[in-house]
Amino acid sequence: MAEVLGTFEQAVLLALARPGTELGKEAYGRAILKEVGLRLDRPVAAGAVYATLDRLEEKGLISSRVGPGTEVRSGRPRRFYAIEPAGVRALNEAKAAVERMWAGVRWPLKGPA
Amino acid sequence: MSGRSPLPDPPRWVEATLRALLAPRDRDTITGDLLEEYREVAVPALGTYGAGRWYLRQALSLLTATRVREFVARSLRRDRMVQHPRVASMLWATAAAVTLSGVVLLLMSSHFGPPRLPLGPAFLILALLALSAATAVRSAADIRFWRAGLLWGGLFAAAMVIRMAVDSLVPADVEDFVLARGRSGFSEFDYPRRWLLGVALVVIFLGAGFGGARRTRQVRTGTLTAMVASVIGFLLTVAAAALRSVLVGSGPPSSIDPPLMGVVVVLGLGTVFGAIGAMFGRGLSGLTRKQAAAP
Repeated sequence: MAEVLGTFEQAVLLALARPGTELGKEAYGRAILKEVGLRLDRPVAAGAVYATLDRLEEKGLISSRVGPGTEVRSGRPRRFYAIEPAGVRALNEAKAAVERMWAGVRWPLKGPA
Repeated sequence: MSGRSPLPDPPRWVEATLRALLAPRDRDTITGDLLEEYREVAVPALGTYGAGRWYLRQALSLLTATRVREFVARSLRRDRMVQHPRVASMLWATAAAVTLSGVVLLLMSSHFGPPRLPLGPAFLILALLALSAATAVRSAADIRFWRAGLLWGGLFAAAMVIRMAVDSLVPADVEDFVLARGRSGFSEFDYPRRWLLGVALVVIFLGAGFGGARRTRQVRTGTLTAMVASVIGFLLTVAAAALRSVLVGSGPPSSIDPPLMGVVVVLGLGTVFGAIGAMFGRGLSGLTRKQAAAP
């Protein structure tokens, strides 16, 4: 059984799950923060994203490595994140769970008249 | 790492605080991300002042309770307690001894009455100790503390009942004591009734805190055990006083009838002395484990 993911965790994992995109090539904190904000369509606090990245890494759903810094960062290194097979499984499970829940329900729902 | 550069810098004090609170592995990477965003996006879009506020907001979002707790844990446990457990234990024991000495001196200076302390800071300290102790409870079903507090609460009630019995059988001569205080050579220690019960309660609370912390190696658990003991002891004492009223009538007044003491005062005493006992327990726990582990 894969890890049960919250909505925010799914947004962060999905941001990392597209290797063909710009983010997939360079998934460090700042870029992930922007991508998650776009996906959720709301401003996202840096603290929430970093805390989620820490948690996902502890669960073994993502991994990270440290890369070189740039001048605009005053040489400070970047931490690049990548999704692990367990993370992909967890995302698939989360999607399947939502689809099971919605199976047979006509969308959008109509409220009581 | 962040040498002088022509590029704008975020408020130094915010960055320094953030760096101090972040875990070592995140210190450069996270502040680097924020610095990059600050310079490339925030300053051009918001100006220096607005960008400074943006940086502060981002820093605050990172300073969650978890990170602050991790920071404290790093400072106390990893750097000192794990690497030097014996030193840490001795520090706990020393802190306990110093605090206890201070409290005893304070009580002696007030002739074992309520010490003259500014109420605000005193209540703040009590509230912080109580809050810290409350974090030891993992769930509403966690009854370890009630069990651990029962023994000490029972001892508390026993001490109170003995005192009430003595007061009933041999009523205190308050007038004699007041007159004696004016005479030269007066000593509080000639009137053990005034301080003996207090000493007994202090020993009980110290014991409850000590026992709780020694088992779990957590000061907050010891404090909570003493707090629970004080509440249980108070309730048992109230029950005993009610029983006495039913059986023998009101009888001679006792200076420590439960309603006069008040559960708040008892809980406050339990919290303070429980915390001191817990510090002793935490210290001794570390020292004895170290000795047991030695060949």
